[in-house]
Amino acid sequence: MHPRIIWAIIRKDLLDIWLNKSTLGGLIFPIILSLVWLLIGNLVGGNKTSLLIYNPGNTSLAQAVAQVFPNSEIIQASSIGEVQAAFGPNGAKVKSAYAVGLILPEDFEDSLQAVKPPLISLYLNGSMVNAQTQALLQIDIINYARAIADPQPPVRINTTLINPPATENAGAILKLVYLPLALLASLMVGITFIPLLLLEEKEKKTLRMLLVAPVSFTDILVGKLLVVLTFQLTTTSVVLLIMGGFTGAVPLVVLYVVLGAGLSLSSGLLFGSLFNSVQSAGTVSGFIAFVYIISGIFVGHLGELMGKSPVLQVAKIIPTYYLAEGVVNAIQNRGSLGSNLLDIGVILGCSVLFLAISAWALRRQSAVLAIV
Amino acid sequence: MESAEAMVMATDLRRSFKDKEAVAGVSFTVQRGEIFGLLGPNGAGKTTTIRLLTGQIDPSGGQAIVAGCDVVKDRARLKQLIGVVFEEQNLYERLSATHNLRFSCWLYDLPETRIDEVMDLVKLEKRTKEPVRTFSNGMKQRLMIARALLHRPPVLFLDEPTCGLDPIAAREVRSAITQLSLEGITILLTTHLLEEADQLCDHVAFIVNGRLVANDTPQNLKLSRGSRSLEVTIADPKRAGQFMQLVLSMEKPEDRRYLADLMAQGMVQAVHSQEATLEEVFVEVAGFRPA
Repeated sequence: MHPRIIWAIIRKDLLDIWLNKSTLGGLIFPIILSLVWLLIGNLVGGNKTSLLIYNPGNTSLAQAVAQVFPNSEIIQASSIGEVQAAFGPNGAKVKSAYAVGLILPEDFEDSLQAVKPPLISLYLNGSMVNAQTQALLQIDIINYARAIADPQPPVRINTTLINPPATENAGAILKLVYLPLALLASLMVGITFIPLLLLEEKEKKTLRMLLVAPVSFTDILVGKLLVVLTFQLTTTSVVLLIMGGFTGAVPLVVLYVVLGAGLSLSSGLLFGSLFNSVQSAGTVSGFIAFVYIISGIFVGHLGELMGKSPVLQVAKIIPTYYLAEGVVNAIQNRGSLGSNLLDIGVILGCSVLFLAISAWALRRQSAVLAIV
Repeated sequence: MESAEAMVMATDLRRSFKDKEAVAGVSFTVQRGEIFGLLGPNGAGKTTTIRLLTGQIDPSGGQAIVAGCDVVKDRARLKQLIGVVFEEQNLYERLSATHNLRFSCWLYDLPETRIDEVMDLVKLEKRTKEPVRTFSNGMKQRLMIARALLHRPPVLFLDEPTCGLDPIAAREVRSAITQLSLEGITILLTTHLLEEADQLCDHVAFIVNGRLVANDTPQNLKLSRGSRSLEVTIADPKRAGQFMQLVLSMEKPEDRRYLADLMAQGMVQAVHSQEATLEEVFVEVAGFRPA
């Protein structure tokens, strides 16, 4: 490998991408998409959801509950009575500014560690929180408790519901699914750009020019991978910033962003090495990118609601499902060590497998390149 | 031309693709500053020979030394000493001419001041900032030559340099090639256009089915195959204002005397030698007409 040559290839490709308007459009598409989703989410269900929480033990469960609502604020209650007064008794018809109330015991974490299920009081305002989200909240609380210890039952929840349940809130549901979708959409950069950059050199015969210059095939590959990696990391980071994704376990979120970039690049390399024309690689990589993105729908709350549905089982065959699951869990600070290891293992395993197949295909190609 | 120094030496060079022997024991030498034409019909093995000599593919047998480098063992150094202009136009079309050349400067670690020099050489200095996709075929071909010359290679390979060009563009490219030869660059070109080779090359070799069937200067090839006679056009003594053609052998003393008489009488209007054309030589040695 020659750093000077690799740098030359990077500079040329950056310039070429800049001058290619359709490529540039493809690069910023995920960012535009996430902006559109954010706008739609705010238009359809954009009101801030207020949560009144009494949390003397400062447990992170409060943040995990808040993550269920994409646009939420936590109001700290100073006493148990303040929460009780804001909601009233079960079945009451009262006007409340709060969607959720939560009373957490001071020894919440300690009780879990001691395998003693703590008692939580959960107040739900049916006019602001739909039935689906109510169920999700309870699942979230149980999952959080399970991540710390696993008593049976992990936690006791005393639920109080005021006001009749609201009709389905499309905006809230949309917000629950668009973060993993936006994240996975950003992976299109690597999946579609690596084949484009590689195969265009082959189609336009410029690869042959490079190979009679003091350039090795490895230099070309590394140069192109670095260009796309830069774009991939930038796009994913911008998308997550727009969607408010850098919260919760931030180092873990960053790790998943890097792993996602690796998966995206190795998938792109696979298509770039298996196909001989930009058109054929573009068709297949476009379809695969779609499948990759769709798997994000089944992650998180929707996945939890689907239980053991066959559709969810099919989604679990797709590696990006684990990426989306890992990121969503990291953002919500609720992934267990086991689930993170599974997610990381699947993403890494697939990336390594794709790289190995690509290396084999590229080796074959370089052998026949001269007679193409 | 400088003193004789072999810049390209192919010795029993061979290359097979599966069962087909594309190059079957080719041997020739190109001296420094020469324009050497490898001529033959499509599929004869010209491009494969260039790929072997430029290190793009390994030979199945034989040896080739280019600019002092073994094309197999010393490939890294070889790449610094050769320039290649491919048959197909392979430029970055969205980039400008300057950006295409700047990229090559980065690859070869050259100062960018060299770009203006080669642009002047191929007469493209007025279109440097425009995207290559707006260029005519002739301009693209000249830009490819400029790119191949950027690192001042002593040996330049041109694969069908005028293929697909209109007559004016082809003339521009031929003129650029002649200029390079005058500057001492050794040029090996392939073409199936025998007239072009006749105009450009100091030395030509015919390749047919992967084998060299002739290798000499165009002049020697034409003289060795043609007849030593002259076609003389004279004023018709019986019809005023009309002309007639005579063919006189340069071997026969009486024909030589008759020509001298005609010249003395001022009747000779034009004289053409009856040497063979390269195409006729090719037909004779190859047994068929090139495509």
